[in-house]
Amino acid sequence: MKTRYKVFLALTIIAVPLFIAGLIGTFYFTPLEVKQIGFNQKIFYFHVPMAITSGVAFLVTLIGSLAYIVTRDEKYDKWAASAAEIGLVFSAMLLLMGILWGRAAWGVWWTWDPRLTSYLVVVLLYMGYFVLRSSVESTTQRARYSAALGTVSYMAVIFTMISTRILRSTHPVIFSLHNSGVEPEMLYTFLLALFGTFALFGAILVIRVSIENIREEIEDLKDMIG
Amino acid sequence: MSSLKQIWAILKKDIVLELRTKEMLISMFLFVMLTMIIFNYSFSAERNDLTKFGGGLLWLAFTFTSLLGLNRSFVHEKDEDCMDGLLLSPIDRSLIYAAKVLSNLIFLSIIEIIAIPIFSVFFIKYDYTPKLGLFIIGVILSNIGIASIGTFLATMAINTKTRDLLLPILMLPLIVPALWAAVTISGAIMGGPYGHNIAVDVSNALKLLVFYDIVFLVVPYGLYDFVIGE
Repeated sequence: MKTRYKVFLALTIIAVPLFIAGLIGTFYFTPLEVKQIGFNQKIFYFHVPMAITSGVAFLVTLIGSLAYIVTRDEKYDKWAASAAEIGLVFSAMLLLMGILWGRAAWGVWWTWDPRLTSYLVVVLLYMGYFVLRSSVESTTQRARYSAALGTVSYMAVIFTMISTRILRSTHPVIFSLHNSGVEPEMLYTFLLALFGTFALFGAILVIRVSIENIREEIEDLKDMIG
Repeated sequence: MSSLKQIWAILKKDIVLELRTKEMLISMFLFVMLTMIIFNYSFSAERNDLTKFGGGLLWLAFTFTSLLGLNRSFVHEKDEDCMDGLLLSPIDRSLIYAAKVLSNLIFLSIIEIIAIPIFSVFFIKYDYTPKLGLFIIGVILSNIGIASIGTFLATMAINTKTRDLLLPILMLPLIVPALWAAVTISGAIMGGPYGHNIAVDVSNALKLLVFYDIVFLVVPYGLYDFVIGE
């Protein structure tokens, strides 16, 4: 068995129990929020880990893009694109959770809260990344353009986040340096979900890159046959 | 030839071409005027006083107008294979980028110089001339942001299967921070006398724009040679 599949298996074996433990913690051990939105607050335990993981995914895209720019090795393009794909899926789910939270907390399906807005922009941004990829046929040209766009996109994400921080936001701030009103059960559940999501991301990333490699091999074989 | 001379040579080519054909400026101008007519229908009840929405509407019109110009500036290079000529010439490719940014900036600014007074007469009931200096600074900084990232993306878009269709998809999400800043500044100045809170918003937006412009000028300038490839 190739090392990559071993890594995939190991990460999956880590992710599954962490995820289940996170879910059990979320539903059975964490205190019920009573002041504002009640049971719906439980979204938080997977919402924030997903947000952090999508940030990590886009960071991997940036690193992959920069590595491609420096080395021109196409394997980095595969890592960058695979990470962007997972980041995009996580961001879309995050947005969906945000919408559910907004419905519970503020009574509306959508509010132009700066953070919701900024994640909508991020989703559109990385959708554009894939539209660009699909409209270039040559693999080297696709890798080149994707690396350039992957780099500038991450910078735009930073600017979008800054511009939303300057604006006043209705988004709740749960963890902050000055407020430690978080109970241990909440923190542990959160951490379980966080590491579970990280491991899940790693597992999908590894298998996604493998799929890209296999696809390339098939294309090469097709070319050989003619 | 020094770098400045090389930039000037490409810039002069673009300006001369535009002066002869006038196709880009005329279509951009018509487009911006048509947008204003649509604004008039969209807000029919309050069409004489859109002061409150001024900033947003202004940048809505300019964003789409800039897309028109950015695409155009590369379509004719591609159609007549001029791009190959440019790339074969002994000019640093980053300088081609710099020249293209400048020419796009100039064309966009020309349209704005004509369109902003017309827009103000049409829709804005507040006399914002005392703050005109700040307003112009905001517009120039926003233009630099749009032209720098727009030129970079247009170069890529034009070399793909979807060509000019791709530019808006790539560019609009990327310029959101710049647009937010542009709308904040223009909106605050056009929207009437402003207090301390709005002044803070405007100064934050200006700072963001300056950083945005620097990042999105320096990074594409550095990456341009890599993107062109070959």
